[in-house]
Amino acid sequence: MPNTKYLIFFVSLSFVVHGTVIAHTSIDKKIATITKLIEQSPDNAQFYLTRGELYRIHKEWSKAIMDFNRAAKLEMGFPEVDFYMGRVFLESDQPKKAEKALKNFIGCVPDHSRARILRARALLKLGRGKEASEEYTHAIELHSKPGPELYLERAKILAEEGDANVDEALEGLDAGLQKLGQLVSIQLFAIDLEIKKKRFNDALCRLEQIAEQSQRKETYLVLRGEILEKAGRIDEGFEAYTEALSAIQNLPTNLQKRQVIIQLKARVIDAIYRLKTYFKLNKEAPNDM
Amino acid sequence: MICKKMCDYFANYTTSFKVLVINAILISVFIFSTSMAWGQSSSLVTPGATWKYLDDGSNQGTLWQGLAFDDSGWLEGPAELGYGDGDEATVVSFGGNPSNKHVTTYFRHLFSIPDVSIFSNLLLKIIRDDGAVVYLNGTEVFRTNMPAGGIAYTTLASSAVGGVDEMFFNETSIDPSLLVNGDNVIAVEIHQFNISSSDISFDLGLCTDCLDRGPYLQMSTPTSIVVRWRTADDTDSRVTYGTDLGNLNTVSDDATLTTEHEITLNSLNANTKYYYSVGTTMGPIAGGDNNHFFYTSPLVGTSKPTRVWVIGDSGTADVNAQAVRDAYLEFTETRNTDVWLMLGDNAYIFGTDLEYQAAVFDMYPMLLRNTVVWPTFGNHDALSASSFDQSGPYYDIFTLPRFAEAGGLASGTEAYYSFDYGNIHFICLNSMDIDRSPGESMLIWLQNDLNSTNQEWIIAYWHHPPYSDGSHDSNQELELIEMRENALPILEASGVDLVLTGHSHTYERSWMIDGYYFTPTDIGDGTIMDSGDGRLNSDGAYSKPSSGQASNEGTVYSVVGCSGLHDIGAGSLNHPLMYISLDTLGSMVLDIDGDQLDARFIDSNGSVLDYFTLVKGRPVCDIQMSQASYAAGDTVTASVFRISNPDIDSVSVEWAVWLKIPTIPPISVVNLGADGTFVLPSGFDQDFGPFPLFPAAGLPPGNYEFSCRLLDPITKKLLAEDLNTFEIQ
Repeated sequence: MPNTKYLIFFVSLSFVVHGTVIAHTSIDKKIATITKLIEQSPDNAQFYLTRGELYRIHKEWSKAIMDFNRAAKLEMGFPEVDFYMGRVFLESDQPKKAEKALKNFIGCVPDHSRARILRARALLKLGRGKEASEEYTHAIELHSKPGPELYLERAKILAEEGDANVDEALEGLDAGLQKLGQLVSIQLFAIDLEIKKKRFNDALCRLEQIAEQSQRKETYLVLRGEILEKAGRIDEGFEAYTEALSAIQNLPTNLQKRQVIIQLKARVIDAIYRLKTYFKLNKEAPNDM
Repeated sequence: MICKKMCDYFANYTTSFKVLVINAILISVFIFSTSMAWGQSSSLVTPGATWKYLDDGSNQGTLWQGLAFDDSGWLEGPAELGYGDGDEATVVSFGGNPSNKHVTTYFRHLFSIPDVSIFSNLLLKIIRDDGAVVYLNGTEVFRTNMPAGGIAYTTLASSAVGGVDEMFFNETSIDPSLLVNGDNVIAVEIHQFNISSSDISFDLGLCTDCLDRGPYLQMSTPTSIVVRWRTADDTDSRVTYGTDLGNLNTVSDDATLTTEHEITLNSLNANTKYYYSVGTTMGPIAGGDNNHFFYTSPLVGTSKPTRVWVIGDSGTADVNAQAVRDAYLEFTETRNTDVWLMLGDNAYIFGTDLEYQAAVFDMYPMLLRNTVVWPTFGNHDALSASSFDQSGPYYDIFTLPRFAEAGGLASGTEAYYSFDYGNIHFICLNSMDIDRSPGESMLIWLQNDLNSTNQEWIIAYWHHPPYSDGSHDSNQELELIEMRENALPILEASGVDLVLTGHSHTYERSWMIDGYYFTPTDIGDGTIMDSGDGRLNSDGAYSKPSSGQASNEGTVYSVVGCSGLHDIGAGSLNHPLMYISLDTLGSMVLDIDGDQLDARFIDSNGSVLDYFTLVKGRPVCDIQMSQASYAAGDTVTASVFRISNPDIDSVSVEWAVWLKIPTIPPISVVNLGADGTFVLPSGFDQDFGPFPLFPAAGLPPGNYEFSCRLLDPITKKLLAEDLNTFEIQ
């Protein structure tokens, strides 16, 4: 099983190192120790891979690549080398080579989620966003515990590909919400996308979902006011801002003194003033005024 | 499952474990308990057991391997046995000639079993340097690092064993049918690789239904806790628990056969002590005794005296980490540890599962079974794990909140999380491999998490320090810079009280500061809210005017990356924001009670090298004398008394002024209020005086102390004090 082999390979790297390295040496010392092992066993591919990894961690890209190349020559048909090469190419800002190496690796080990994520990032650097998002989709499917970052990165790539992809981005975010629950980080980005598409009702619905799980509502009331205002629903927006101001003023004094609350309050007061001005210029004011 | 796969693949050789056996006044560590009753899963031979041995270099043939052999003439001693490493419990002889050492040393251990029919498996674990052959009741069951074929007393081991390999146990399953009812013998011959080799080492364990790891506790809340453990073989899982040790009457089972066991206990009572045991539906493997207990968390928002132990970069699995641990255990004595934070680099070098076994599970077994550990992700942990897909040993080993299970706001990931304990909100960030940029998921979550909490205290921790001039320079390294520039503004604006980090293998502790976000850190860029030492018996505690959260009233930053790893001479230890910087091993202890936080740094020798106190929402009193020195004819005068209450609530205080005369205990001079008590309304801030006190004539010459104190009128707890000195000529 390729994945098991990879796991065992990586663990065995650790054993190779453990057999000879004291736990608390620096990277330089670790490299020196492995170099001695290589001098004793110059045909051991695993030693080159270990040293290559240490060079990569130390950001000595060219030395890492040389060691990985050597390992590949010593042990033909060793697909893991492509993974290591792909990663070091990506980290050394060579996305074309990274993409090629990782594609090779994925061809042999298709269920390697980390390789797919790295290939996605390489594709992104090459300006191939749609393909990158597809790799993220594969990576997400392979995981039992995908984090919010996976869904967000995919959605951002799609959103940057143009308006035509926003719906697909939102579908991906909804998949994340389905998997992980009402996470603020995912839902706030989804709200931004809904607003971009002028789907204000959908944005409000999403806002309601995250507001529900919080005991404190002031931030969400302000966002609600802003969405309603953008939607041209000025009366409702004014009502939301007024509710937000009331919520802030009802907070305990120590929380009202927090900078984020002070800034929020200023935002609300500005908005209320702005809408009052609008009402004066355009129509009769609502009763709250 | 990872362990099972490893075991299957490596079979007889490379799966290995390290066990430290420690005899100390306060603690002893055993992987296998011999106190278990027969009929339950148990240890047959415990690492550290006493062995008969023969170290005269003689040829013992084969009879010595069997039960009938008379070893009464042999020497005896506890494992680990050997010579040359300095860590042996029993030093055996090599024959006196260092160039011609004995090749073979023999060991025997008898043990008794009343009923072998209950044993369906046996696991052997051995530390051997260099090679070993093991016999059970005269039959060879295992050889390691020895050539194939016949073994003579002159046969050399196949290779030299050294470094970490001589500290790890090699394990193998053996056939339990070789056991007999009654007496059994296990016999081992240890062989040198060459006759001038510097050392030999030997220890051995034999168990059935073995506990490989734990039990250890995770993710406690007021009503739940997670119990985890690992076995050598697939079994089902059972936790038995209760508040009465003699009556563990609640059971939680999982029928899934596994080696990695994880049971969540629900419907518990808050702030309650429970005893527990772990095992299978056939019976317990460990626990059910005074050593296996846990406390559930107190209700969120309640104030309870809380002890927090903080370690960082502790993953060395060596005598340094051991010394730091022992110093803390001696310090805390019987006082339970309520919360335990690990600040990253929990297992060197690569954070592999085996390294975690040695650096965490074998290093802190007693603590792990009684206290929940809350870890953070370090750069060495990241060498085997990834936060992006939450894979690798760090994420396999720990059960951390993803969906606000322990309080706070759901992050959706174990890479960063928060939890509540009493009136403290703990926030764990990931400075390693999660995007640290503003507007990205972690910092969005952080802002919202802070917005959603009303806790009195906020303590944040992660691996890379925003301020350090130790083995890492916070002006040079990206992770440190980005956490400072991006995370600190959010945290300080929300009133974070204390930030704990590791990574630099030093101890560094700041003044109470605010607003230092830029790179490089310049003393003029922010505010030192209090440039004192923060010590109650010196410059006074760091005092934040407001109770609860309040923006930018000051934060103390501490680097505690020295709980195992220690780089001597690392950095200039001269960061401009640090009150103290130490190049020493140690750990931090926090004691939080109500509105007061006391912190201490304890080195590996048990000395308290730094301490400070942080109080919140306390009233303030201040007194100034009219002169530093009074001559006969002068009147000792307090020129100004100032009292203030910056908190949002009024507070009742007893105001006392004390005079300390040389050689006489302090005497109260003045009390105000009808009964010495009065109420300070919120925002009260007033100067009084001057107050002429008494003529200097008639007072003995010397140095005097004059202090103004505010006390809680009921508990008499000291809320504030200001101390002045003057001289009588």
